[in-house]
Amino acid sequence: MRGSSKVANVSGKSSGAPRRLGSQQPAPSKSPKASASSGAQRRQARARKGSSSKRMGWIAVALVVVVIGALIIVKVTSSTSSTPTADPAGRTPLPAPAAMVLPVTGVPSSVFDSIGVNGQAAMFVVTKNQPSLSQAGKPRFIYVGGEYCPYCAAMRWSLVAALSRFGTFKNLKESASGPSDGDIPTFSFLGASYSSPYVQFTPYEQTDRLGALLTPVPADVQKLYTTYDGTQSRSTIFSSGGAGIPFLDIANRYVSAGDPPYLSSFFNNDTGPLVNGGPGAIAIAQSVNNPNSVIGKAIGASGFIVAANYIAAAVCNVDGQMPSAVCTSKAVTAAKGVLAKATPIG
Amino acid sequence: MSAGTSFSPRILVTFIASVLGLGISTYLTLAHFTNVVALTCPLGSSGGAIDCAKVTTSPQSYVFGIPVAVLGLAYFVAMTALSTPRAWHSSNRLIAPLRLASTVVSIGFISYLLYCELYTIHSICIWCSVVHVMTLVIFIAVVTGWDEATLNR
Repeated sequence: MRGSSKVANVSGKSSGAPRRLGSQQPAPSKSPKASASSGAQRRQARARKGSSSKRMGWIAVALVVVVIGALIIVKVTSSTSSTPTADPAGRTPLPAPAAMVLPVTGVPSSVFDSIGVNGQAAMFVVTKNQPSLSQAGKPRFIYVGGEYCPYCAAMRWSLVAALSRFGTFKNLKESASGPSDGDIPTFSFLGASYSSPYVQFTPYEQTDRLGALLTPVPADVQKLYTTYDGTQSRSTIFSSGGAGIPFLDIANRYVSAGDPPYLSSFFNNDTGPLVNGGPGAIAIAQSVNNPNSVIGKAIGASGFIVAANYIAAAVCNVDGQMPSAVCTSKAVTAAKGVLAKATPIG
Repeated sequence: MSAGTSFSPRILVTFIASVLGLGISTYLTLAHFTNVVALTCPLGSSGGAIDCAKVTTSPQSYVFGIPVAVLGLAYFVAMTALSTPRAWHSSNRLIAPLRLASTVVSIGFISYLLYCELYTIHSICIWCSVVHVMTLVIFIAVVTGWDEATLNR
């Protein structure tokens, strides 16, 4: 007898509603505890990041401090170990820096020509019947001044500019007129040399910045000074406008005592634009090189160039008009024209 | 006071340093361009180690043809604006990087200027040194305050 069989449910239980496989169960909602936990994690991450950026910041600060500190320390230690310091009396002046020398020794010809004599009177007295003055086979150009002297300080800018057209200065020093005489930045000829195939320049600084005796003036130069400049109490026919330094003597043909107005204005009885240093030696040098610059105009630097043109004209007239490029230039020709019209004295 | 206008110590330092730098830069710029304002140099003397005129009239006082005083003025105008509490708390994503970049560039620039003073010009300008110190203070406050600067981003 065949009977029927029933396959029983494996579990022995009957299932409920059919179940779909693979379906996702809906996500349960977050509990407050979980929210607080993820917020804390974000804050910790942020704190770590902030700490890292702060550390980087301080490293950057440390690097900058090290660099700046090194700049200062190296400068201080090198200054104290090797760089000589100038003495207040100006008896051991320091070498003039290139930034001060080069603009003045290299004034372009165009600058000399553009300024010319600017309508200013000649700064020399033209002599006649005087013995010729020469040295080493060349016309001699004598300068007598003093380191303290503010008018000499102004004149030296023009002297360096003018004479650089005829020769070469070496070892120019940096100085200033006396502390109570304007403290005007300038060059010093102490220990400097000048070489030229055309003229023999011999400078003498009688006194230092504080008025003490510095360089004794040779007897022959002193005699010339007395003849053409005078003494503190007496002027001469050549210095009827008043005796005083700086004294210039170019081969006994052209002499001057003191400064012309366009140079004395730099001191102007302690009120001039270069008093107490003015814009500084380097800025003054740049103004000599470019009198039409802002600073050049402010201090009246064209006065330096006018004087330099007259100096160049005088030298040209005694050295046989050499070098020709200088002596035939527009400005020097104009200055020579003014000198030619002067009434010689002697 | 709301967070957008509050002065934290860092914000206060950068703002005050910026304003001080702005004042001195304005003075230096006026002294550079006019005869009305004279440049007086505390402790200075012509040709000495401290010589404000020598520094501010040196060839190094111009960069790319622009007076350094003007560059400094422009920097401090910008930094004063970037150092206000509103700027520090701003949600604008450009402000914090701009402030950081400005101060990094400025610290490099004043390092160059300091080098020029010490090794080329051989003189120090007191006023310039005060401006340099303000720049350094701002640099320190900004580079160490990046997290505070980006709090509202």
